[in-house]
Amino acid sequence: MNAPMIVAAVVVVVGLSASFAGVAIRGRLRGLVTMGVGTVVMLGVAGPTRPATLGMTLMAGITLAGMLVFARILARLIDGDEPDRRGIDEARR
Amino acid sequence: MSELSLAAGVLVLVVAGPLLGAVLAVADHGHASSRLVGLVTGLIASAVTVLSVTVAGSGTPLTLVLLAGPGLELTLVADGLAVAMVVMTTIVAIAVAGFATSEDRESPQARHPRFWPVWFALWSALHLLFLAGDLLTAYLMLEAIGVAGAALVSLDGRRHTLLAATRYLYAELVASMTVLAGIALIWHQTGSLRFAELGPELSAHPEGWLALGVVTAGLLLKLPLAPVHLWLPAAHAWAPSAVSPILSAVVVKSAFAVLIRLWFLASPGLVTRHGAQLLGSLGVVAIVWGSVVALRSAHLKQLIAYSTVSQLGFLMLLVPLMQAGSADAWRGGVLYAVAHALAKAALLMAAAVIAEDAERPDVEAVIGAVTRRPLAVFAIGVAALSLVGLPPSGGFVGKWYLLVASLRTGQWWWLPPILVGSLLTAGYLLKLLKRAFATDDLATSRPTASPVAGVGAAPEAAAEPADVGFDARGALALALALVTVVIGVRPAALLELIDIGAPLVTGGG
Repeated sequence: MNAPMIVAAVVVVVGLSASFAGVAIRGRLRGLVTMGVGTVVMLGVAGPTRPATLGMTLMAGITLAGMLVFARILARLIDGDEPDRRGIDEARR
Repeated sequence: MSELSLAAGVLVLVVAGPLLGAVLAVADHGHASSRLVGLVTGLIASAVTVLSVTVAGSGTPLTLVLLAGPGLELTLVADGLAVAMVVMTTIVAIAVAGFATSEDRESPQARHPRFWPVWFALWSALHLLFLAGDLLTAYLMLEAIGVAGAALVSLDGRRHTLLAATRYLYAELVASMTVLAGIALIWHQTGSLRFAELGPELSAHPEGWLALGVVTAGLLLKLPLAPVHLWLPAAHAWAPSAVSPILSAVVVKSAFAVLIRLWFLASPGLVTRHGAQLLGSLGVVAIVWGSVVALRSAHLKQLIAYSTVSQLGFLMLLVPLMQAGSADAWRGGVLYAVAHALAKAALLMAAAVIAEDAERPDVEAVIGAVTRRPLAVFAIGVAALSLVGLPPSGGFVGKWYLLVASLRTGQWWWLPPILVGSLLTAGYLLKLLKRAFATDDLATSRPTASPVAGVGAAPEAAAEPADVGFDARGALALALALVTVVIGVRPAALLELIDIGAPLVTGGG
């Protein structure tokens, strides 16, 4: 691994830890956004700067951004400041 | 038109057909008529039939390069694994489409206008994933499947379904990003993401195992394999009745197909004995954990969702047995995946009919169901035959091949989990069947309080068989379950298909 990839991998691990540490939905989402930025950068610097690397990074970045936007919409539809288990437990009872 | 261009056209149609359905459903403002659904599913079924006959007839995988631009490559590879998965998806999707249109006829305004466009898009993404010839396309389709699946779960807009969809999507996001990090490592080491080219390059690189390990971790979360399965039961249990079957039967196989393609078709040299045994052990944990929770579950669809967690464990036993050089494990694992999809979809469709009829979502809804919904109960019985692994069923053939592979490779320690897991499966499915055949006395005395607010059945209504007319949805569930029996009686054609392009087929086993 080259140095930029290692830095990006650290960002991925930080984002992953933040997403697991978060109790509320919005907190987890922030961790996931950090992780997403890290993974896309990791892919972008993984190979030599040529159209193949850029094309792949663009495709992966756009689809990941789409997933995160959808996650944001879902978080807005429910109360994103509440722990995410509560509603499911309520429904089960 | 030459034979090759006809096959290429069919291959494109297999992917584009469901996409056409999505476009037509959008044009129809989301309320896809049964005629439109029938037309599109008929078109896709024809294309899949021609594809499977072509590949089976030639005995070699069919490859088609659609796009070869920088970073935007798209190659479709129709080998035995891909075609078996596409056939499985198509059979389940057609049954679910029939189920959903039948629901639409009974309650025309109940269907969310985004259901059909998203549902067809999910179908298309599944086909493209199974046929993908490179890891990036497979990754993009895994993302599309995750978004479409979460969107379908969230459609009814109730708080608990939104929460279940959110947890599902968050797990998918973590898994996707982990897979993407692994793809970055592979790209860094090999400069290629085509499955056919990964093996030698990745095996030669000292960090190859790290890249493979990171991608595998992401795929296990997507699968999901215990103990990272916690998002699955809520998402599958709270999804609408026409969505749970496709999630529990087919969507869970998407990560499985990518995993075994990557491990055994792309980079077999990297798979170590310790790694394979670890995955097999996680499979055993899933078999026991999923079965025990299913046995204790009081919620009908949750019981079936935990059954899925357990059944995915059986699929993982393919990994250590393949690593030991058994072609029987490949045949057994892939065939079991197909049989499980058909039986699980049938089980969920039948359970939905019975729960809706009883107006309650718990297992007590099944009490006395044989008098009200005999076709649905029969479907549960036939599906149970395959899930438990009793002859004549596809589940039996799949488990038999796994047992034979365990003995031939000397890995006898996988026999007890297969046998105990099958007994536990029988335990929770017999719990349902026992209730279904319960006497009228028990049906009359069943509790009426519902775990879901506003839903409950009056005792009189529970005791008296309702005149429901012809149970079209129960019949569809039964037809789907009977396909597993057909596979059990005549497994040769499917096994020959699975062998096309499979690893170890000429030398192992």
